Amino acid sequence: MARQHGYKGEVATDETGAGTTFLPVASINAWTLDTARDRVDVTCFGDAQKQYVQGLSDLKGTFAGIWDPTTTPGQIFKIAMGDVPVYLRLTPSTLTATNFFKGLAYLDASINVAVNGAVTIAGTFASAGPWTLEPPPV
Amino acid sequence: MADSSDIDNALIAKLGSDAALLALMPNGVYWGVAPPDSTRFVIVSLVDEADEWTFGGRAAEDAVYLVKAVGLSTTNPDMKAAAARIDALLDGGTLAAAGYTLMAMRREVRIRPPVEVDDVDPKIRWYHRGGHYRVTMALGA
Repeated sequence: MARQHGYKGEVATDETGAGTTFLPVASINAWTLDTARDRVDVTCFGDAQKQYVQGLSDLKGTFAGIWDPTTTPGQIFKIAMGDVPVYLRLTPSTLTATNFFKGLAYLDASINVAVNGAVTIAGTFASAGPWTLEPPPV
Repeated sequence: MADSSDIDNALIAKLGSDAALLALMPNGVYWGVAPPDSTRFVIVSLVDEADEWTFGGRAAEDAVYLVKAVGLSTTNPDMKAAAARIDALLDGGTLAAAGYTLMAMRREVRIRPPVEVDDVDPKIRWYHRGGHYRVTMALGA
């Protein structure tokens, strides 16, 4: 498998929450996903080094893009300002479109308007259910 | 398919079709260099350009153009009025190019370099006045 560039990344959503019919979100240019897990320090006297036990994944991430008045309100802000979690599909590269992360998420969104630049948007999300990596790693 | 050169052409066409500017600079508006024997004209050239990307492809093109009136001193060019007319047309103005939608057009800096004196004949002097104009176009009509 070749290494990949991010220019063919994609963020897609399924607003029905079924996780089966995804529509790409327009004008997005970045996303991140953090699968960090809770870790508790259980180091005791006599241990040779610190020790931890591991808890659940606190999955969350970010996205960013450029405001498009024809698509951004419906594809981003409607979800962020609503109460229903959305199914997210995050694809590192659509050149290998079968490799992606997906799961339910709550979305937050922000908009940045400056006199000297394009109107941009950004947001964060956090898991609202189980997430999977497709295809499952072997 | 959007063609970046159409933005350059649109800028030239906008300036070159303005009767008030042509009255001041009757030789016309040119890309880079004016034809021989021109004495009062407007020059447009690309100073800097950067593309803005989204996952779907190029989303916007952000270009800075040098736009300046150039006049030979012996023709008594009204450089003040010419630069003001360029600014009136471009700063906050409209620009139509096939495949693009204008996001913003405005002056970033004004320019008025020292009078250019000819190396061979010091009686030949050229005036330059205008500005750097940032033109930001979104792809898609």
